[in-house]
Amino acid sequence: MTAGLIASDQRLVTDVLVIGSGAGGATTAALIAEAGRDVLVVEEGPWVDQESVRPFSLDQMDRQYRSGGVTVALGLPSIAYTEGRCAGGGTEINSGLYFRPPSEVVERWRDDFRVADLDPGELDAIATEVERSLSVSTVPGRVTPASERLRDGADALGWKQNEIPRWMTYPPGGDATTGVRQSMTRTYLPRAFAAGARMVVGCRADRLVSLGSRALAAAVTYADGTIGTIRCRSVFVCGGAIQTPAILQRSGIRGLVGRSLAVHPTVKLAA
Amino acid sequence: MRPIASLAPAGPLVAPFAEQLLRLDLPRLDDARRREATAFAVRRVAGMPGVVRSGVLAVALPIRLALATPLAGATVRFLARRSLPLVGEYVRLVRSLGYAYIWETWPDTRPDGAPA
Repeated sequence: MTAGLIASDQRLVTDVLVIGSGAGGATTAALIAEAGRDVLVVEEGPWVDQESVRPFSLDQMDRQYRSGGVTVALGLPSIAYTEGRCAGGGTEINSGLYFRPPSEVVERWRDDFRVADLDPGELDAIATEVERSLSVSTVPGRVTPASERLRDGADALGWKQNEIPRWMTYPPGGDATTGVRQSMTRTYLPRAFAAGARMVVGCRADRLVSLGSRALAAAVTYADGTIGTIRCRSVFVCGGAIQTPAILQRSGIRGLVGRSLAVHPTVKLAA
Repeated sequence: MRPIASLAPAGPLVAPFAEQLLRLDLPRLDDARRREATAFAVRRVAGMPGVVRSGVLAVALPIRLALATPLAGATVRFLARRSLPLVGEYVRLVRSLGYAYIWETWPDTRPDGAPA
């Protein structure tokens, strides 16, 4: 079993509970564990080593995507979307694209949404640290033929084009086909474990158990159907843009929760 | 309470339509491969979350009933060529699942289903 993973137990106790192990949960767990706190991460999906699955394959969709990748937002029109459900969350299945928000965008967020203490300079410092931890870079060698075609086409049209960096490492002399994804199972989760954090997989957080405005525990269901309770002093809900609002709503925390979801569309081109 | 549609097994409802749709789209796909792709589509539908599966099977049911009539072939041809509200989503789902399995498993498959 991967270091840091513990077996499921009907009653677990921790100082800090982190729900979800994707980009939000893994970084939260690592930093809090490194600060000396007792941290337990719960993840609904399984732990899947990167080397054991071919990226973007049906096998990966079976093992690391919610509902095997067949998820849909109902509406007119209905929109198919995909969501990670595994240790490392979406970072294990996406393209690893990374883009540091420009200062003017951060300032607009701060002003338009009245986010207190959102300082572009401080965010820049955090971004620099994250980029170092995740080895964010552009492709060192040749890009894929499809990317070359896009680049050449944009140049011919006089359009501005640029390569978006990814969280990847490359071997010496490597190119776009040899990148190793620096997902959470390779970066922040091992860091969290090294600092003493524990993690249980196959554990779905059903709802938070609260007394007044204070969360005391999480009611969970394990992959084998057994239910359990995890007591905690503090909880961080890091289920991503879709599951975090869902957990909060199931916990009776409603209001505007989940009402402002926004996703970016992906369009496939073929020629 | 689970919706009644979600209690229905996906196989008997989805498999006949999936099989006939793939036969229409890919006439040179051999029987064994078509059966495998159909089984994959059924497995995926069976693994959907309850609410979504209920919706899919609710659309699948009348289509399945139509396939038991002399109008089966005409029904499949009509649905395969039209983009109808709601029903069109079901057609796209079954087609997408079948195609994904076929071209991932046998990447050299030709557009008409023939092996390379």
